[in-house]
Amino acid sequence: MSEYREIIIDHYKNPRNMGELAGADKIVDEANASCGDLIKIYVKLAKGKIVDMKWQGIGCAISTAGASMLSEKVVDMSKTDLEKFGEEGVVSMLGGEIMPGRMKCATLAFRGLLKVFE
Amino acid sequence: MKYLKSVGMENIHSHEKEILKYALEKMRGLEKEGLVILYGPEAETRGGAIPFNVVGVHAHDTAQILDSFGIAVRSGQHCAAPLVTSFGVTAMVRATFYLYNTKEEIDYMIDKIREVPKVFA
Repeated sequence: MSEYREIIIDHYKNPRNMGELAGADKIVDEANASCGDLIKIYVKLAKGKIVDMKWQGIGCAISTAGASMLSEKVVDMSKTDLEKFGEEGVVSMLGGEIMPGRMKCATLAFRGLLKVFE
Repeated sequence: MKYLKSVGMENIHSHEKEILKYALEKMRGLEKEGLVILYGPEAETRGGAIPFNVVGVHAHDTAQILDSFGIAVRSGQHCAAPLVTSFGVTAMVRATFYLYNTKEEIDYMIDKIREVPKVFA
């Protein structure tokens, strides 16, 4: 049960930056087709960097905490910064240990954010 | 096939039905307590599977917590998204039973399902 660390439970129960973002420059949807988790990401961009992110979604503790923590982490990140952060950065952000079967949950928001720059 | 024939298909079927009936009765008990939501018909008209959700806990989280107790259940949409979503949920946990499962294992699973919401308390 190593995934259910205090920080994950905290972000799951009190997700940060959840909701619509008025005046968003980009809105993207991402899903885990096999499990039904859904996320809608809203971002504001300036000079190629994310300046604000909000999100809405239905998901498990891991995907919810991943989206919540990422919404705080990605402010001021460019496409290159995000790619450098990578899935390893997501795992590290979530506490450093995610079972292989939960990687798609953990990276749901991250995969959505990559689509922002497509 | 040799092994299954040696046990006897009728014996396997009746064991599966007995285990399912036992598990469903226990799960109905949890449902009455408001701990779980069950999906599907009564024991007479279902196969050896019980789809459910623990109230307030996502199916993936329930499955992983049960896994930590050595209980293997599947979670998600079970390659049947239209059916799962027709119940108004995006994912379900599914416990399945077979020849090798015992009533003691069902009791253990019921006991550990009670532990699931405590992780998020």
